[in-house]
Amino acid sequence: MIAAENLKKKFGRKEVLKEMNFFIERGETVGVVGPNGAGKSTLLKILATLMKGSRGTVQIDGLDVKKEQKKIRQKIGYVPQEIAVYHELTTRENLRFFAKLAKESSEERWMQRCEEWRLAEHLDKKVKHLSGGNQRKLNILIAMLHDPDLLILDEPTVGIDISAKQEIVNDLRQLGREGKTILYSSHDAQELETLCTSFLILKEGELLFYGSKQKVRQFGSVAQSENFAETLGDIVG
Amino acid sequence: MVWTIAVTRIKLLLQSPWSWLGLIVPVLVLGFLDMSIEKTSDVTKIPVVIVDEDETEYSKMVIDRVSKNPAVSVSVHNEEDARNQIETQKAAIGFFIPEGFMGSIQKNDEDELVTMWLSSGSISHGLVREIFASEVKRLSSNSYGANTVLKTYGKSEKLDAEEQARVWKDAWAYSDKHWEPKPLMTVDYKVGVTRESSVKDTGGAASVYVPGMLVLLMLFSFLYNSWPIKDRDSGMRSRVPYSAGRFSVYWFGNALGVLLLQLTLLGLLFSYGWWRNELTLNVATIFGLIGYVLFLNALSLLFAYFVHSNRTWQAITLFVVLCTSLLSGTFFPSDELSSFLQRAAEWTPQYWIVSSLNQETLMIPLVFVGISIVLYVLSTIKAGDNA
Repeated sequence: MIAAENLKKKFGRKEVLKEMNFFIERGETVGVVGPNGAGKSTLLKILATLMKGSRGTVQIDGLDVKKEQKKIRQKIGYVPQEIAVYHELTTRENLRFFAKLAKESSEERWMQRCEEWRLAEHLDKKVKHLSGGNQRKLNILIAMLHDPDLLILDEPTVGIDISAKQEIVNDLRQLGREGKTILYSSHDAQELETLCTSFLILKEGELLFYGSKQKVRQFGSVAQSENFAETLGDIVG
Repeated sequence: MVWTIAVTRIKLLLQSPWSWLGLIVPVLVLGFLDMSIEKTSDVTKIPVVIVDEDETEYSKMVIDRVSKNPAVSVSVHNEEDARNQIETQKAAIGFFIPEGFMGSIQKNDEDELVTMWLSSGSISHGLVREIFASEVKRLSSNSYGANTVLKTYGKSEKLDAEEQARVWKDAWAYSDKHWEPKPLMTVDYKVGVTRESSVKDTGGAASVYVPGMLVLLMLFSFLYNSWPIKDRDSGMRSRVPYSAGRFSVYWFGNALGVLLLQLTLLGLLFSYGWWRNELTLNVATIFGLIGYVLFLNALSLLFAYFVHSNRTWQAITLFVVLCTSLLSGTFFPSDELSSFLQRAAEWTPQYWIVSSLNQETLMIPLVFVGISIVLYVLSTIKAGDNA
């Protein structure tokens, strides 16, 4: 589904992504992990066609992200770190607005998604009056309005309580079971462990590791550690 | 899609009570300022009393026309009251219109027809005398013209009495309509923006309406156009274009929403001005003001691209509005400024729009539209690159 070859990104002289190569299979839920400044957001933005790589190629379903932005955007849903919705409007107004932009005519489908994500009862509330967790859910639902195959989420649970995080992770797991490919960036090892089937681990712009959850445990000096969070923490440093 | 974004922007702006106030307050402010200035100007008018012993169509016409002069405040009294007002200096000057005034005028015999009384402290009688004399002379000229026409035309055509009356009346009205000379000392009131042109019949002291409207339109254009700053902070500046497919759709959609709100404000202010006889309804005026609003929208949008916080935006708004308003001579004539500042004033949008309103030209609005297009394209390219 996603193939990156010799991907590099520079901001001026600073190289934020160094020669990355990976291939992500359809239906995988991939955790993108790394300390602050590792290049996670930059990588996700390149995959989401929001930014262009300086060198190398990235293909999604055989389409080049540099050349076929429009087609690719129809296949992906991108959830930014910020809660990028109109807080002065209601949940329904936000969903309708973005559905119109995405030319998504089926209100029934997103209404059903709202039911599944327990947002239906908050449809007529202004977003600013919703809880942090529900705001985050709406942030994700907006990216899914056009029913994309690939969902790219950049720290989508920042600043919310544990139970809301748990709900979102469970809902995303359900999406994974439906066959969606998910790229998920987070600093929360526990939620990554629950949700993800494989991991992309970055450090200072370098791809340290890409592989399944089992392989993470065997990676490097911290092999065989029982605690996954500890393992991840040790790898990332 | 542009329309969806525009409607949502209007909805968002109207969520805030400040935006509603932004539509109502400017009209109230203008109304209040207009009334305040009108009251102040009443105090500064020269008090004049008139005694009308003739009480004919002509005497009433003279009183009515003199009353309309912005320099005087006229009241009609009987002779005793009028003399009393002059003696107690409540009135600066008085005029006595004797019986037979109309008949004398029709015979072109206006010499020493009207008696003038002066109060001891009157220093402005020269001006009022000119105003009054001009109106009497006007009627006399009309009668003279009508008499001449009748004398010349009536002889050759052998008109009966009814026809003669009609011709005389028509000739009188024609002459009255074409009355050009103004009293020598009458003051022309000017809008303090251009040096050359004067406003026709302001109906009072120099009006605050036009300058006030221009300032308020600029102020609210900047305040409404703070959305690029808020959208950048909330992440909408990349999310909406992402969903819409193109950055320009997002940018123009929002600009259109704000523009529609600005045009609503213009409509309200224009209606008020029209109701108060401050503006004439014609294509050049309407097109000029729409061009001005469009330009303000494009300009504030480009400025908003460079600004990163709401506080800075508010400071910039105040700075731009105050500087351009003071510099352009919106509130006082720019010829009181130094020659350097006068040249700078010619680069302000207020200077251009007032020139456009005074000259009733379509050229300046077209320039506004042209510059606006350039500004829109610039802001779209700059902001799009950074979205």
